[in-house]
Amino acid sequence: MNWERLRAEIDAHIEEKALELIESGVGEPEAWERARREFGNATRVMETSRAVWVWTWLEELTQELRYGLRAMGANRLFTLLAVASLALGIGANTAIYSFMEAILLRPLPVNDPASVVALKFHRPKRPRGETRGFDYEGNMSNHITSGGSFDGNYSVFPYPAFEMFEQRSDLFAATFAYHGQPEARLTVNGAATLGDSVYVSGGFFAGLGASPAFGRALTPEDDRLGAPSVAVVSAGFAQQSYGSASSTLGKTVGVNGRCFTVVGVTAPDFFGVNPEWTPKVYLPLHSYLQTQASRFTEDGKLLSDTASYWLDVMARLQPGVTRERAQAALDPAFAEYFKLYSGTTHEKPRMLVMDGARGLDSLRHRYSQPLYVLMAMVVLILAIACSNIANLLAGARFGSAPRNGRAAEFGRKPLPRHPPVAYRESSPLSRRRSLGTAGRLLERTHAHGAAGDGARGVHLARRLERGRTCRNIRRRGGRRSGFRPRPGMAGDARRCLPCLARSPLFERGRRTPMVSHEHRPSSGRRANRPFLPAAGGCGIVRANFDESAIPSTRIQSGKSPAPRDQHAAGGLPGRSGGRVSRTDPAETRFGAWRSRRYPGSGRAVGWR
Amino acid sequence: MMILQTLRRESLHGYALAQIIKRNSDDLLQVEEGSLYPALQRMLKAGWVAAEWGISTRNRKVRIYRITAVGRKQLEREVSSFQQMLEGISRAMKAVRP
Repeated sequence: MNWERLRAEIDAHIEEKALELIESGVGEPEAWERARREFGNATRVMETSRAVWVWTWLEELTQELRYGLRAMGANRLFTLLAVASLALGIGANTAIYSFMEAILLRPLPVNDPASVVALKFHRPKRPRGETRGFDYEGNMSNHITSGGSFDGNYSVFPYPAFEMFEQRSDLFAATFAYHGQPEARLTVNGAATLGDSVYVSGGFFAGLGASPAFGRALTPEDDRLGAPSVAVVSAGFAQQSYGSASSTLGKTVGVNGRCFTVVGVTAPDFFGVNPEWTPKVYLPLHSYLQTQASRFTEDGKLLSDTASYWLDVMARLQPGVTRERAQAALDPAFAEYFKLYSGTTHEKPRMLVMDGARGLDSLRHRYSQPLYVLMAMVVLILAIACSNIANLLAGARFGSAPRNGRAAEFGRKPLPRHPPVAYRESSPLSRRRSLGTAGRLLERTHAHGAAGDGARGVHLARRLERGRTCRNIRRRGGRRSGFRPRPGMAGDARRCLPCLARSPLFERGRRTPMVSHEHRPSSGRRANRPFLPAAGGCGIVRANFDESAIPSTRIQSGKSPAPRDQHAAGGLPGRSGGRVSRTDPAETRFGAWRSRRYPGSGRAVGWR
Repeated sequence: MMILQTLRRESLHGYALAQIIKRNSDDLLQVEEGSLYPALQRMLKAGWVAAEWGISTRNRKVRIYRITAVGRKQLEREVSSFQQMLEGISRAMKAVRP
């Protein structure tokens, strides 16, 4: 849509109307005005017409985004803090989530992981001393305990039981077993390292459907007594030990002192069947007998032993067979086997066919609960990060308010954000104002404490709080005289608050400045009462001081005095015209301090 | 509906359309003339009307709107639903009349 055309159309409309009105005898200016008035707001009409054609929300969103970016660019530090806290929160969340994904959610990196099952059995808790039937010459019991878990589920079987499962081709398309050996001694080119190795049955790779990246997988031909010693290594191990995966084939790897020829390298994303550990070397199951030279492995005894529980068994279900059906079919068979070989008659183990798609669940079982807690915590961290930013936003909003608020309280113009250097040097008050609220409070407390007159600070604050800031009222009345400030007087006091605040007197007021005895205004009956010079401009009687009598180090040293000091100095010339003879300010400690601080303030020094 | 109905008789430009609607309603409907244009834009977008440049009676270049076939169908739908509503309301009013 061409907006110029719409504009022209609207103009034509108004013009037609005006011309018609002129023809009917209305004056020209009035005709135009009426035409425009009756048409309504042309810009609004344009906007509404435009909204028909464009995506207004998208435009507004773009505008908002641009505004947001500009605001972020305007305050870089704030943006940095916000981005950092958000990045921390999101980073922690991502890390924990990827951890959870690896352990709880990721399926095995194999073909059709849904049909892979892990075989286990459940054994009711037995009284102590009755486990002898499981032992092989009293030593093999560690195998069953290592495969067991706290809930009485055991994942290991004897080799004959595995053979029994293997024959159930009505249930399983493939059955395969493995025995992990953590921390095996691996030797490559004479350099020995420790690494996880796993002994797998011949059908392991075929059963999982995990094809190797290079070379071939282990087959049932490799897994028999007297077969050549061959191995498959993981992609990571090949890269690390041989330089590249493709050049690994045909090389040798030593496992526990025995040489194996590498015939294959697994795919890089294959991590075995248990996310808890990633085997570096896969060896045929029968070679276990050769690498573990002990009396249990002699003559293949381990393989024929019916009571040594050491093999983890997995299987792939036949199409159409459910886990429940497989479990129901295997249960009596294994119970019979157990009864036959364990030597116990009163115990009946229960067969379990577990979902193997996500790897064996020992790790998951162990860590799932802490992981969920961790996840909840990380969500909390993210919430904290968000509230952090909300805090930062609030802080940024209130950051500058107290300064101007305080300035307004004292009847001054708000200070510039960065006061000039001379200004800052000359007056601690202005420096204080350039600090933050907390800093100002701290510094104020500190300054008063250090000067030994914290009480005065409190007194000052209280007086400020009550609104009775004009000490003149109290001077005139005082507690003893029974004088109470009348409402009108309080008003006076408030009116002269800015003057008082501006006056150095108000800042450091305890040591009341006094004029010398002979020049005190003759008040008659209260001859000894100290006289207080009041701030200028509020109509309260004040003394006049000789400006030239004050040695002003600050002015002579060439530094410019603070504006407020100048103001105070300018506001001080009094009206009474009496000359005050005064002590040299440098003679007393207080006087020296004051003349340093308020050069040219024309203040008299108190009597001693 | 009124715009479509007016355009069904003849193709018109914006000002003439506003004038005719105003006159036909005997000045009962006090509508801001400007609000006609967003409505026309909506109809253009929906394809109920089409516009082309032409010359007005005062010899000024204007856009002349004419109703399309889709617009005619839409008008029929709207008129019938409006009449139904009117009928419903008037019956209800008659029913409660003492």
